[in-house]
Amino acid sequence: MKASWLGGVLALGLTMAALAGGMYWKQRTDGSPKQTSASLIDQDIRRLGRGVDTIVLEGSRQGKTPWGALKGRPRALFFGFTHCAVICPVTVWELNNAVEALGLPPDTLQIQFVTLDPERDTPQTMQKYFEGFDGRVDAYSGRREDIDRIARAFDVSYRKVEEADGQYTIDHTATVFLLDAQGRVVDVLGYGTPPETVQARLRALMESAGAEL
Amino acid sequence: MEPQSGVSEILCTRGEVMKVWTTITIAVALMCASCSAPGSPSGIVVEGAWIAAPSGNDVASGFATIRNPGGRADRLLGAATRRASMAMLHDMTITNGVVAMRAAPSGFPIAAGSEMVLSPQGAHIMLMGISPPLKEGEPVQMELTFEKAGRVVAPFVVGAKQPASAHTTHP
Repeated sequence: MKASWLGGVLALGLTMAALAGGMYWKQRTDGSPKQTSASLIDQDIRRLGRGVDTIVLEGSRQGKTPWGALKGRPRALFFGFTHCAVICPVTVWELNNAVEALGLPPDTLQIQFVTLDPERDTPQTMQKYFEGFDGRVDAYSGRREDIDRIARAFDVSYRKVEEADGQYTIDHTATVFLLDAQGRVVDVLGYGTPPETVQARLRALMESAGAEL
Repeated sequence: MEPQSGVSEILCTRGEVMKVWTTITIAVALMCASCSAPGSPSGIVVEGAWIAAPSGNDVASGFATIRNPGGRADRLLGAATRRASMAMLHDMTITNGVVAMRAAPSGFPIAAGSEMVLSPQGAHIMLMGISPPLKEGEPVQMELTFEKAGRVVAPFVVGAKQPASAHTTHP
């Protein structure tokens, strides 16, 4: 009797958490202008990406690097897999287009990609892949358990889905996280955010970092 | 209007000249893409067709606006091209920020007098087994199969960059 009562409370709690989470994502992905007040949403964002600084990943350009060492410049960070023919290239293009529109000097904003598919995405294959884009993208792979810990820290979820031809695709969170030079998440952009909103959010990120735009 | 003087001021390096020429080539090719289909007896019009193909990857995706100005509903059933061993219609769903892509074997309906958009935020054509790698500006002949209109061939132009006009928000 007691166990089922506890179970009920737990289920209710989880449902409320899921609902709140859903509302959070809905609010963050609808392209509405960023709120300037320190709202609950902003506090929620600030807890992302914590506690993983010592995890070592292997970068496409700089070899093995602890996550915490990637700080220093404002960053746009996203997760994915390069066998995806849509999200990955479109995300890079949209970020590059915004960087170009804002007239940011090269390398003031670091674009970083973490693969959720380390079996197929090695630092070498990713370097070749991202060479095809105008801007600089630093791509990171690593041990599955390390990637999982970083993904969890950013609330990134993913799921491998087998396809008929023996291949697989990966359903995954396609959000772009905007981090300040201290490595704190200060904003998020949902996939499909209109270009003018991406520009406005990047402008805010860069201005808060002291850039004159 | 004196485009010549403006251009010579802006273009400093050979690389930049090449970039502009590539852009012009793609722009012209896109215009052709939108004007070739209306002549087809089916009445289906394929506009702004392009392929996102970065970095010599063996997968790519195709996007376009497909108009059905006729008086009967139709359905896009499939796509095929010689440049890829497989072309599939894919649909995309976004749930709580998680993007999922799935094959859409039953295709996509296009009501009479309406249009459907294949875009990076929704339905699109997924190309697999591309060999040799696609080249920027290359017009890829894509055969689209419709339930009523039958086969319609349209060039999809390979872009190493998303055309500025190609962004559409998710419905």
